[in-house]
Amino acid sequence: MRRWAAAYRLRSARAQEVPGFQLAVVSGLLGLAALTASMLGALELSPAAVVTAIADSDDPMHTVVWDVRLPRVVCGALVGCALAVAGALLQTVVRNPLADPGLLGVTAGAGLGALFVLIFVPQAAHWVPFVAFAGGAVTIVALLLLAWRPGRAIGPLRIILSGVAVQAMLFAVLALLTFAYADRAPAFASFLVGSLNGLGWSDALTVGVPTAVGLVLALVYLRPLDVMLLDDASAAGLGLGVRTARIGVSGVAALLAAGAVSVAGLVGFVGLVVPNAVRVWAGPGHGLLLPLSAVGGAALVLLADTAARTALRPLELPVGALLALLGGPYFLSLLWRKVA
Amino acid sequence: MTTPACLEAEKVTLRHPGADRDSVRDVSLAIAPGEIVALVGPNGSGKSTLLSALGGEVVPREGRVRLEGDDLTRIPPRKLALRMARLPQEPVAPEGLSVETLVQQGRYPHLGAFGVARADDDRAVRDALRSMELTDLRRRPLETLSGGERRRAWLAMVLAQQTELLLLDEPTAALDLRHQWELLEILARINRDHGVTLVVSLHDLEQAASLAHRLGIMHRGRLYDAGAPGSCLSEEMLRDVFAVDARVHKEDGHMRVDLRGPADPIREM
Repeated sequence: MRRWAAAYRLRSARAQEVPGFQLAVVSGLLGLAALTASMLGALELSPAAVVTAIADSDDPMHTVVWDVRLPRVVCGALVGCALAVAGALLQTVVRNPLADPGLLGVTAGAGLGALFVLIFVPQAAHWVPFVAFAGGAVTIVALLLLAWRPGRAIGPLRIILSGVAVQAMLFAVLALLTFAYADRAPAFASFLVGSLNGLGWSDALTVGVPTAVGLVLALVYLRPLDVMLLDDASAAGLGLGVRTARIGVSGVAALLAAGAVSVAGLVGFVGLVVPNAVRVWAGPGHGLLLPLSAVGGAALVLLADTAARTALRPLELPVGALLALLGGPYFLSLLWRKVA
Repeated sequence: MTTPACLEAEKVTLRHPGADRDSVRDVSLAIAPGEIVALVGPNGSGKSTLLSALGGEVVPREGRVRLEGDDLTRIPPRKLALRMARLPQEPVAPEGLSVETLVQQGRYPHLGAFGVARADDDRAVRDALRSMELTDLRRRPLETLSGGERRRAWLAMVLAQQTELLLLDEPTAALDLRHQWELLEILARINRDHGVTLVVSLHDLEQAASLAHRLGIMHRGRLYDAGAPGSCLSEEMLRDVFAVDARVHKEDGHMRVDLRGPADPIREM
């Protein structure tokens, strides 16, 4: 065990010397995932056929690839990117690798906001991402307040447990809403699990804008994030306003999660699995962790979605179900390593 | 004291949140530029609390702390971090963080608007690593280092901050004897070579006496005495403050404390 750990450390230390290499590998994986996603479906296309279908608007396959597969690929990539980065940010905020926008209830809060608009003011559907952001932000602020004790740091365990409680309450409200308004909520089953079925270019815009803004803001926070890795006293000694930074970074995470939830529903575990997996390579510093998480998250959701919609053809499974199947055991293995 | 103080506590009274009594009461202490002051005292005497007030970590209930004349509460955190560095007793870093990345964090208050490290940031990190003899270990994750090396890595971080004032809370705690000795040598060197003013809380009286120019002796939240080790490290003080019966003598220029046993129980009250 110890020897394995030493070998792992040696490998990660060596890998830290060539950052471009890791990003190239993960980007290559994303490219492959995008290509596979565009090729597979009811009709299988060769890579060359995909290119022709995109380039030539008279091609018989143009509509299938350009209007159906490609927006779904873009949406999937953006959802994965947003959730993975949100997860990485939240893990730093609560200083615990078990944090995830889903587990902390941030996606549930955003989902509740989105559901509210869809049920009660369906004519204002363009407000969904904004209200979702409000829902996610309120959840994370409530969480920080719940876990807060004056004069003391917010303990990681405390915030995780608060998250579990908040998430349970939010899920209860979500379930009540979907049950009471079943007539207006035909697709809510897949909303609760998370799915990319039937997404178009307008959805890509809905998730793309908050994701882009969130990524830029995450870059603005790059240095404070590294300082936040240290204990509160050390971070404060370096001149960081720890509380303000926590709230700011949480807001960015809420924005990213809200964008993803607005189009794909409550996709879980991406924010948990991806940052933890790439941290093996990237180390805890955010300069490499955030870009690797962004690209890795996109690749994971794309691969999972492609598997989900092709495995039991013509049945299209919701990608969230597949990710949860994958993420649950991963969460347990993390728990085993960290706690036991 | 003839030189103007660089850090000064003025009648500082402190209370921990939720506590029903003050942990530091009415303490005034002036620290001169370039000196080493060691805060000593038994457990719970308030030395760490006083240190955290001197560092601006906790705001006094009464009184104030001044840094070169400026009220500490009026200095924005990042500006403060350019003038004073502090290291908590048990700093925590995440698993996998390399020594170099840790030391780079010391440059945080110096970074510009977009957080871009410049040439002088890199130089400060290199210098700090070299002066703590960590250059060869810089790529190693912290948790693979020995306790002494790890303590040096944290010290390198606050050195990279390049402040004139350094506050350390029990830097020798949890180190074995040899590493304690090395660390004290390093602190003396930092003070001698870079003129850094040091305020250090220490448990070991002999160590404190050999390192510091002055001792600040805390007893039940009050400053019992402050002055040169030779004058305030006395048998009477040991009985009053530490409740031990001991002989104090000088040997090869170092203060020695020979413990005889607990002091008279009536005095302990």
